[in-house]
Amino acid sequence: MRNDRLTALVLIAVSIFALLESNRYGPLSRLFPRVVAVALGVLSLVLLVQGIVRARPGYRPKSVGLPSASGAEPSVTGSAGDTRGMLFSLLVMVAWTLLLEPVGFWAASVLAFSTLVLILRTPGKTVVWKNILGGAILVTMFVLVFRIALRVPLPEGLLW
Amino acid sequence: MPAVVLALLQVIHPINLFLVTLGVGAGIVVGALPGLTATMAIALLVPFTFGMNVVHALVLLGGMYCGAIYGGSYSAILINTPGTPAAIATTFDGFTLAKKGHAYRAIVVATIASVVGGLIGVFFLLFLSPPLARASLRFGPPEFFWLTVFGLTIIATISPKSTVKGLIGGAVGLLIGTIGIAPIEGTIRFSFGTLALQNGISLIPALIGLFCLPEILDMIASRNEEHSAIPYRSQRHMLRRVWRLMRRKPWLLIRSGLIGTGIGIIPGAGANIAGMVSYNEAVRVSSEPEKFGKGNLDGITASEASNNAGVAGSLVPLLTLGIPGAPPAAVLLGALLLKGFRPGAELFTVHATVTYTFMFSLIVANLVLLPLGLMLGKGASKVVAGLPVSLLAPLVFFLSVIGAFAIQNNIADVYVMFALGLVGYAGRKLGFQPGPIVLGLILGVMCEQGLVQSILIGRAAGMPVAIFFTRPISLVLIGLTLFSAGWPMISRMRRRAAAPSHDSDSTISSGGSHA
Repeated sequence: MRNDRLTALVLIAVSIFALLESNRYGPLSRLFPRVVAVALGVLSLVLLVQGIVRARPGYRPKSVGLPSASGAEPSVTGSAGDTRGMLFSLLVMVAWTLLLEPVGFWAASVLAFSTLVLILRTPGKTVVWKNILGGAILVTMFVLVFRIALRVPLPEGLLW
Repeated sequence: MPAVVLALLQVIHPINLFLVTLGVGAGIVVGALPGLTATMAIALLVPFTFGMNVVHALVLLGGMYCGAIYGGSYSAILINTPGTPAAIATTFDGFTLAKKGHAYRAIVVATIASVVGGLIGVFFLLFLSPPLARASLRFGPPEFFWLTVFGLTIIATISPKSTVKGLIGGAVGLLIGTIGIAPIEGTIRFSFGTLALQNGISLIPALIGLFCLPEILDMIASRNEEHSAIPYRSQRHMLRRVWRLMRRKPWLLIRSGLIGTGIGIIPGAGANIAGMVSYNEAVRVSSEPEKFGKGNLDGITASEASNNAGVAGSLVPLLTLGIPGAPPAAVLLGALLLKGFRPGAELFTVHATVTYTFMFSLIVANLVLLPLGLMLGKGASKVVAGLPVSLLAPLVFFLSVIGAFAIQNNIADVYVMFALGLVGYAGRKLGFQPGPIVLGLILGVMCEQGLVQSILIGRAAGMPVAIFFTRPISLVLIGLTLFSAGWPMISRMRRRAAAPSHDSDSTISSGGSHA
């Protein structure tokens, strides 16, 4: 519920910003963003009120079948199992994305792919070199198909 | 010899049969890759058809169009990322089934639905093209505005856990859609001086980011030993079993096919919206709406029958009036013009043999889809199931990056994909699903154009507000919108009346994630 309140406040700020920013545009360009910003603000306000009401002691959720259930608990898919692995992987993905242009699409992808295989391996069970080799072959194959057959100019960078 | 007979003889010629099969197969593969849309597949293939005669070229391109729209269901089912925007609604139930080990079952349903939906669409293309095309021309800006408003009511269906959060997601999608050049005045909005944002947020990178990255991160966070994220359970006689289930609900297939054809015919609407509208209708009329989003075969049927029917639907205004019903049809129009063929009456008189051969080839393409789709689908589900997370996660991310880049050959799209992926992940943890955001993004531009153009036309006619409420098709769409928006409330009241004692425990509390 606390998350809902914080989210609602952030979204209200976004809608106010969109409203103020749209003032700079012409009458026909600002009409639609304004309507949407107002709608977003009102809906966020509803979410905020829901969050406040539900945070009160003694509140019992009342809900009936689908499709309804306004404001139920957020669905948290996935477990907190390997948060560290996820954060490391995320960092690799950020680096992967940023290195595509300077290093080259193929080189950055092979490097990042191999790093991810290493991070996500299960010690004693994963045959790391096989996965890295398999990944490198797959990446090379896709890069060749896109570059040669589909004529997509993937960034070449320093190392292709 | 009559043109229709000549066309029939042409279509069963071995070369044409081979080209249809090739087109369908290549289309499935391209459509299955996130980021590579049917439009892109056809656009990439057009240069290869320069040297072909017109029949061969059209047969190949038509097969590719059918295959690509169907192929989008593979990645929707296997990795929760629609291969093409038309398959968004397929993710809702398809991926849930895949996680339970029934990926192939979901693919069989998608295949049968696509074949039946596609054939329904071709039926209308063959027999009712001229009147349907004329009717589609009656869609002006007010009708488009109301069509998008109707489309937005789908949010209530695809956000069963929280309607408010669904609507907020829709509003966020609409707001993201306003980034870039305004459709009427041409003002650059919300770009913050960044060149990358001046052209707006492209749908495909947004789609990949919002659906795919959260799934990869969850896959990593919840990985368990060296197992695959998607188990695979083999069942014998799957086709027969699934068909037995599906034939019990012929109306679901027919209704979805009709919705797909109808929306496909409307220029600019296309299969993207058709799949969502059809899914919404399937939930609305179902006696068990609570089962949707949890691996319900009807959800996949509705989405896939509808989006493949939209293929032939989008060709109705193209062949009769030269107005493409969807972006891939626009590329087909280019191919037709390159060959010196002008859509319109001439196509059905002077070039009738070519036109009917093309139409018949779509029937063949849909029939070829069945064995080819099942074969490739079984292979794809086995391959994905055989991959451990340590290989699947980087592979899916790699495909996301390459798909986001290839759509416009622009590195900024990769950054947008990644940024929206993070937003999608945070949103998922806070209970916001990607479906409504993407729906807002898809409908936003059409909605704004309809609204502003209607106001301009209305002002010129001295009735800026009345123009929205006085045209017959608009009134029908307003009625549908009110009905669709009010349906959850009506449904709730009916449920309360039917089972008053179960009020407290009938909530969908788990497993209903659409993500």
